[in-house]
This record gives sequence, structure tokens and C-alpha cells, in this order.
Amino acid sequence: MIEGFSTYTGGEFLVFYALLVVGAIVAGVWLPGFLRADGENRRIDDRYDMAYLAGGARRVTETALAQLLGTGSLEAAGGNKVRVTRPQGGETALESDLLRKRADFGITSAQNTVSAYINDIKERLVRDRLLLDPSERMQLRIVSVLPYLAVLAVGWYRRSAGLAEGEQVGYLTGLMILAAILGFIRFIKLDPRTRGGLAAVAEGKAISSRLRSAPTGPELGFGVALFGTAILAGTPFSQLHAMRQSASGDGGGYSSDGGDSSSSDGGGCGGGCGGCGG
Amino acid sequence: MSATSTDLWQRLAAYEIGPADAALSFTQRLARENRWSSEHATRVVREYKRFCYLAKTAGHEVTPSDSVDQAWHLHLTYSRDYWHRFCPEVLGADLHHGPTAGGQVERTRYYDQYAATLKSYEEAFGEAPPPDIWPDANRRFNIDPRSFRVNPRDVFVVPRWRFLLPLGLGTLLVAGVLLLEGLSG
Repeated sequence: MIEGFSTYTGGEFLVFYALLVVGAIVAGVWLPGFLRADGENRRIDDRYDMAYLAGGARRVTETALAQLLGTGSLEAAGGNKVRVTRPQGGETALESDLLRKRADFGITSAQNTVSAYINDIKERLVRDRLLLDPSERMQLRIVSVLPYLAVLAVGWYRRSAGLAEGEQVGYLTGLMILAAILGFIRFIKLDPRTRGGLAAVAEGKAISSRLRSAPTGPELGFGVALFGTAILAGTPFSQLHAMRQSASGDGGGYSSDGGDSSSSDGGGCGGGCGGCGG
Repeated sequence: MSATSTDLWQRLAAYEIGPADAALSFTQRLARENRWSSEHATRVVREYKRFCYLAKTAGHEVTPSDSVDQAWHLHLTYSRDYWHRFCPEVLGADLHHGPTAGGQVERTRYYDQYAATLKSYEEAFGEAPPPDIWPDANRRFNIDPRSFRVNPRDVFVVPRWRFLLPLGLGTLLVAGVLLLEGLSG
């Protein structure tokens, strides 16, 4: 079969190689899904476990801020910051820690506080077989990139043959670079959940679909845990969504909101009508 | 006890809004005025009745979606039916309509009421409100209030996608032709 590659003309091989890259993309997605550990099927009621499982470490921070805003323990302070209004309003150690802040704070500062709890959440989810353990993750990462490595090996062989024949290999090199980048992304971006973890999130979203539309204050945390801060658009808590959007990050944290400081929503009339009661 | 097994819901479900012998029924008029299909208008009327049920039973003030509000507005124009039959005989209480006074405080109040209404809906009827009739807060409070009356004799009404899709495809086509001509020339 390898002999066949070297007999293709340059154009024929490029088409063939592009198809191989597409095949590697498909296999890189399909293989980890197929080989993913089953884990355990269980329902998740803890908002922070759900937040980590549905959206990772950042989602945990956003969930905590949403919960505390929804229950009136925090309020918007302007300038992408919030301030504590009810220091005793926390229901968990994580929330109480956030409510100990004296100065107005932004999402980066909140993330720094919450990060101390992330490992506990991760370990609990691994113990509950909702997250893959580190060795399972590494196996899946390797399996995910094997198709790309195979494609790169074929490309390398053909490129070497082409160079020996004095052919142009620019397009092939470009495709190989593309395959290498995609393979690297595939290696980095691994969904760390077991099948049970995926099912738990899907079940949570199905059961709590109403929270996507308009959660009440006490439900705000779980709503954000499941669906992210996008559900806050159009609510009185939309500042948190704006804070998240304006804070740029590098995968693990936020930046550009200024952290702590020693220092709103826009107005407009909403609602059509209401005001009737039983 | 499920809401659907209560006497109140049975009365609401059986109630025909407006005169029974009207050539244009309430549901048909609602469909015509909002350019809805008759099936959608029928579903909106059902959701309006559910809203009325919650107004009487939820124990808190309730806020409708925009679609349900359109049904309520229209029902209020059938004033004899609304005030002399529906409220006293079916609902057993007056149900007043109170538009927002505007401003941030009102916005927060109506959001809280809307969220509480959806929660009470789920508890009473055992299912989440249909999102096409009870949309999310962004649609409810940012987008739907922009609606206004137009007369098709005065303006063209074209859905955005019907305008933007051909425009985008046409632009791509022209760009492709120019590119090919440039390459061949």
C-alpha cells in the first residue's frame, strides 16, 4: 500500500492526503467516545459538582457568584465587580470564603478564592466515577492522536520521496502542519468525563430545562452550573455574564477585570405587564 | 393534586372565549392579529388559560410571556365576556392587567415574577412551560418588547433570514465568479 503512495502524482496524492486528514479528524473524535470508561450513573444535586462536570473550573466560580447574587449575598458594584452585602449568606465553605472579602472584587479574584476547592471537587467526581482518573485520561489522549500520527507518518514518507524526486512539496507540508496542529489540539482538548458523567449532565439539563429560561434567585447557581452565564442575559443579574465576557483567560483563569479593588446594568424598561395575583 | 384535576382547571379548559356564534372566533382573531397559524394560536390560548389558573392559585403575582400577554390583551377587549362571565363565573376573582411602569426596579420585579411564574407552572402542571410560548428572559424582556404594529399596505415585511441568506449567497457567488475570472485572466 505504501508503494501506492509514491506512484500517485502530486495532485492525486494531495486529494488522497486531504481525505486522510478528514479521516483522522473523524477517528480522533470517534475513538475517545467509543473507548470512554462507563463510570457510574448517578444524579447530581450539588451545584458545584454539576458546574465542574458541565463547564470546568471556571463554571464553578461563575456558579458561586451567581448563587450569591441570586440569594442577595452579593450585589453588582459596577466596573465588572461585585460587593458583599450579607457576609453570613454562604451555604458552603466555598461561598463563605467568597463572602469574607471586604473590598469589591472581580471574577479573577473570585477564581483565585474558588481554586482552593477545585481539587476537592475533582477528586470527588473521580471517586464517584463521573470523571476519568489521570491514567484513563492519558490513555484516551494517546488513542485520540494515533490517527493523526499515522497520517503524519504517511505524509512524511511521501514528502521524503517527493523531495528525493525534486517535486514541489509545499501544499503537502501545509497539510501536514495542519494535521499536526489539529492533533495537538485533540491531545490538549480531552473531554474528561466518563459516560456516567456525560449522562449526569444530560439528565440534569433535561430535568431542569426551565432554568435555561428564567431561574428564580435561589435557583440561579444551579442554572448557571448547567447552562452557563448566557442564561443571565435579560435578567437583573446580567452583569455577571458581562463580567465573564469581558474577562479574557488562558484556559485556567481570568484576567483583565482588575482583581480586587478598594472601590450595572443598563436601564431601560422591561416587562410587558403583570401585576395580577390570586 | 395535579392542577388538571381541579374544578378551576376543568372550568378554564372548557371555557370558550367570546360569543359562540361569532363568525370569527377568539382563537382565529388571535391568529390573524399576530400572524400565527391556527394551531399555534390554539396552543397560546391553552397557555393563557394555564396562566389564568396560576394567577388564581400560585399565591404570588404572575407575569405572562409576550404571546400569552397578546391573548390576554385580546380577551380584555371582549370586555363583557371578560368581566361579566370569565372572571366571576370561571375564575372566581377579578384578574387585573397591570403594565410595567418602566425602570430598573420594575424590570427586576417583573423578572422575579416571570421566573416565579415559570416555577409555579412546572409545579402545577408537572412539565416545563413550552419554550416557544414561554421564552427565556432575554427574549421576554429585551427582544419581545420591541414589537410594534405595522400595516402591510405601508411596508414590506421580510423575515431577516429570507433577506440575509440570499444576500450572503449572492455575495459569495459574485466573489467566486470574480475570483475565477481573475485566475483565468
